[in-house]
Amino acid sequence: MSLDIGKMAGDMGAAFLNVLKDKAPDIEKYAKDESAKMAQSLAKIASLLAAGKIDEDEAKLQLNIQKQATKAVLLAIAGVSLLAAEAAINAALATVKTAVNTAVGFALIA
Amino acid sequence: MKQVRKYNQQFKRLLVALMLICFLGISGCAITLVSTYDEQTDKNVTALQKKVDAFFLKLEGLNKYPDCSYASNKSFYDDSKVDINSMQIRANAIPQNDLTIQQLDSLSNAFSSLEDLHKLKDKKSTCLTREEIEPPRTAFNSIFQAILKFEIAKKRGDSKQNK
Repeated sequence: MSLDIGKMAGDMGAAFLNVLKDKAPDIEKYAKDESAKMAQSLAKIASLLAAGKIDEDEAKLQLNIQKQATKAVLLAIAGVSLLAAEAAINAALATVKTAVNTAVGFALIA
Repeated sequence: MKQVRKYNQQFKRLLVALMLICFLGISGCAITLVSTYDEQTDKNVTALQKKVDAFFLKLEGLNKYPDCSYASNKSFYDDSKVDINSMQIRANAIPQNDLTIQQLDSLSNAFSSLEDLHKLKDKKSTCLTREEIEPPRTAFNSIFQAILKFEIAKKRGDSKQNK
């Protein structure tokens, strides 16, 4: 069994980076857009409280709704990042599939 | 030279780990880290998003107490809680679905706070004003969008389709 480790490392690394580069801008834009919306909402809640239009109990409930939104958005970012990692691993495996299968003599990587 | 050897050793370990994962038979070697796309979750979340948005719109138009009261709108909260509970049960039955389960927990938690907020207004016999509705409306849209963004991304395949 002979495998060109150097070439495989290069191919796999390139495949990893290609997938991650493709997904990263979308994730970054989404995070920035959502952060801006949440900052605006927090400012609004603070101004309503300062103006006496809502009381402390109402402000706390309003704040909790925002916290839950932040959590849901961060979970989406984590999930989409995990999917990007999954795609990167699978892309990397695909680049070495032929070489590995030939070397071991059977379809180890399907 | 030492560094190259070290790098090669690390790469070999990674390769062996990946092969081992393949051997374990995870999806015929395609590694799956999160659950597959669930069309029903997509549909249920979209339907609830419309219902909640329509409710906010209705509340904005109701400026006379008790039309705008929690008591007058209790059926919306009861129906929506059933919807959320049903989505949580479904999500819990899907393997590798922990992140979506946590997102639905956030939705449920936010929904309880909205309900409590509305109840507080009944104590003062006043309506939730348009200004007060704006932050929760934005937050709920963010929650629904977050759940859908992740669910649709689970379709995998064409990345542009998933954006």
